[in-house]
Amino acid sequence: MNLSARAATPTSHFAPMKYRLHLGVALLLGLLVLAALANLLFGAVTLSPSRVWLALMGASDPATADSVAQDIVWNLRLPRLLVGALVGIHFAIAGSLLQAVMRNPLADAGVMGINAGASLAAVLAFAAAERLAGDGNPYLRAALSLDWLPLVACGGGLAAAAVVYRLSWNRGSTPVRLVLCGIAVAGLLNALATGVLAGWAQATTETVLAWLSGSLYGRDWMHLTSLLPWTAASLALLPLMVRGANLLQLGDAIAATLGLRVEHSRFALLLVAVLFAASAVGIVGPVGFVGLIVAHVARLMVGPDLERQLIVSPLLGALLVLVSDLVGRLVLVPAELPIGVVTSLLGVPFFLVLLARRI
Amino acid sequence: MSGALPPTADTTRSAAAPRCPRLAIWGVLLAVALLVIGGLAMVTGSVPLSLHELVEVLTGRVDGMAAILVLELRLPRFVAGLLVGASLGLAGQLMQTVTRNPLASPGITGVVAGASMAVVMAQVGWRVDVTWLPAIGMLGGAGAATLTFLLAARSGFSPLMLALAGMAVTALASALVTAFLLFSGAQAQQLYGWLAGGLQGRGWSHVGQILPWALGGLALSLGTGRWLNLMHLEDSVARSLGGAVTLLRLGFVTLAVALTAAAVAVAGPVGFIGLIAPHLVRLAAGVDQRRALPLVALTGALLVTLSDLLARTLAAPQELPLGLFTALIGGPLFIALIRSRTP
Repeated sequence: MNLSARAATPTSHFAPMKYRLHLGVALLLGLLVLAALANLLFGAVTLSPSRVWLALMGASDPATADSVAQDIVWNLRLPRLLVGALVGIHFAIAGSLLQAVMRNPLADAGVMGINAGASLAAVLAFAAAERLAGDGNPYLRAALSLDWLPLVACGGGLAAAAVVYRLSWNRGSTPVRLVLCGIAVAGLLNALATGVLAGWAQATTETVLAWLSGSLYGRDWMHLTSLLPWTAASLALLPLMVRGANLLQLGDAIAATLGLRVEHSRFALLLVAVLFAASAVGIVGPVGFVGLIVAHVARLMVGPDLERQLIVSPLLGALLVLVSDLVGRLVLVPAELPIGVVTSLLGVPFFLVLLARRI
Repeated sequence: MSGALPPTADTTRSAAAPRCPRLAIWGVLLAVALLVIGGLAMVTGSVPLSLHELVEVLTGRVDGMAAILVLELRLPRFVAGLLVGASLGLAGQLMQTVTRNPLASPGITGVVAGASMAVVMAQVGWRVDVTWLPAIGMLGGAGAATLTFLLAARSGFSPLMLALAGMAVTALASALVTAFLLFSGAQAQQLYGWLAGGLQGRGWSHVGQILPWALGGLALSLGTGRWLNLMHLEDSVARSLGGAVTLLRLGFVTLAVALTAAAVAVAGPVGFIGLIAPHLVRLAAGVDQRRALPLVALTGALLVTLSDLLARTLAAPQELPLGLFTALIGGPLFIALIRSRTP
């Protein structure tokens, strides 16, 4: 089954793919550990490694306990680190799957309208909360919308993806139509979100803007526990998908000849990718480019076989998000550059590299 | 994939004789519709005027409140909408023709996003004089266009790749805008209003700002319609007919970017007009540029002024963002277009 995809792999001049995979995974794991450590150590307050270690281990004697370090590590940096890594994994898998399904190196979660749908839903939630709570209690207003935001945004992303799929259906779906419909729907929803924000949610512009730029600020254990079930469910479905995705990369006709039920397979793959992306967008907001960049780097590292790509891309995604978050926290201390802005800025050199070599 | 959406010109015959009356009819219809919208725009608002009052004001027989309302507020706003719509429509037509790509438009290729990024940066970062905004927007728009076209050309210049590259470039530009907004503090809300696109409070100075660009663009593209027609042909054919293809293409895209930047500098990023207006006209008028260009300008003007009228009357006294309405009108048309034309 995977033979067909592997046969198309050009033989590398450097090392057999197998060793490249092992080497790559080892390298990525090492980098990931380093990035995680750096995320624990650095920030608005720099902690020494020993303080972090003691805080992580928990103090045996309450009298000597370093409560500041414990607070920072356990309540701020550790949950943020884990949420970031998990979100990176989600975006990376979604990106790799979508690029395979769409057979297009520029496809991303944004193409299914997920980011735009989540943005519109979030803006609507803020506007509705502003109306519901009235002017009485600003804290109530903020709480109303922030508590529900992950669920609402995720729902918005899923709904947008469903609309895109439905619109592109015309006695069957094709990648071209999916992408074009996705871009049209995303453009429309983004314009609506901007319009609603400017027209009805002016009082909360700054809060909404912070969410719309995609941020890990203040993400805690609650976010982690609400994201984990999604990760588990989607990961459980993933192994069933790989064969179909690999075959779809060859084109609908060939995939069908090889016995694949093309539409079923495409729908299932899109569903899993959309679930991954939408649940992550619900937690951190519309963060772009992670899936796009990771899918490319993964393909460069291990070739076109999706099974191999899916081994390295989650590691790459987690690494990318952790490094971006660290950069965002450090460049403007004590202010933060939201992670969505950092990953988008990474898009610039990425595009230039893409331009310099053949995609 | 390049055949996914058929190129704009599958025929080079200009079909002059039979189409002429139809074209004239469309032109007259559009002009009448514009006049009606213009009239409505003059008389509706927080202080409604009667038609009689409007005539008196326009003929200069009364001054005072009504005259100020019409001549200083409503008329310049309408004219600004007219010019913005015409510029965006023309820009879309030029891009679609030159790239032979039915999805090429200022919005899809990221030119609008690039121009508005440059304008936001100039306003937040350097507080430049407004007369410079079109030129600055042009720099941003040209940068975005270059990136999009290069990305799309690298991987096969199909409508699909153009749209995807444009989307990525747009995402990039809007992330930069977001970053700027986050650090602009109290200005953020005002800038966000601008980013939603709108003509609120646009006066004669804004009209003066866009007028030379819009008229110049219209005159230039009409004057060069013959060469624009060449762009429909295969490059080799166009060359043998005496066109310096690369130079022409570059010139037309630059013109489109300039028109877009001027429109963005006045009204903010207004989406979908440059995409939809040329398609609507193509349905009615065929492909001869010399005939299509004026119609496209009129259609763009109609779409923008209609949207603006809705934006300021539907929820009066509150103003709704213009971009909301152009998206609501243009978005569904765009989706219908994709559904009908993609195999």
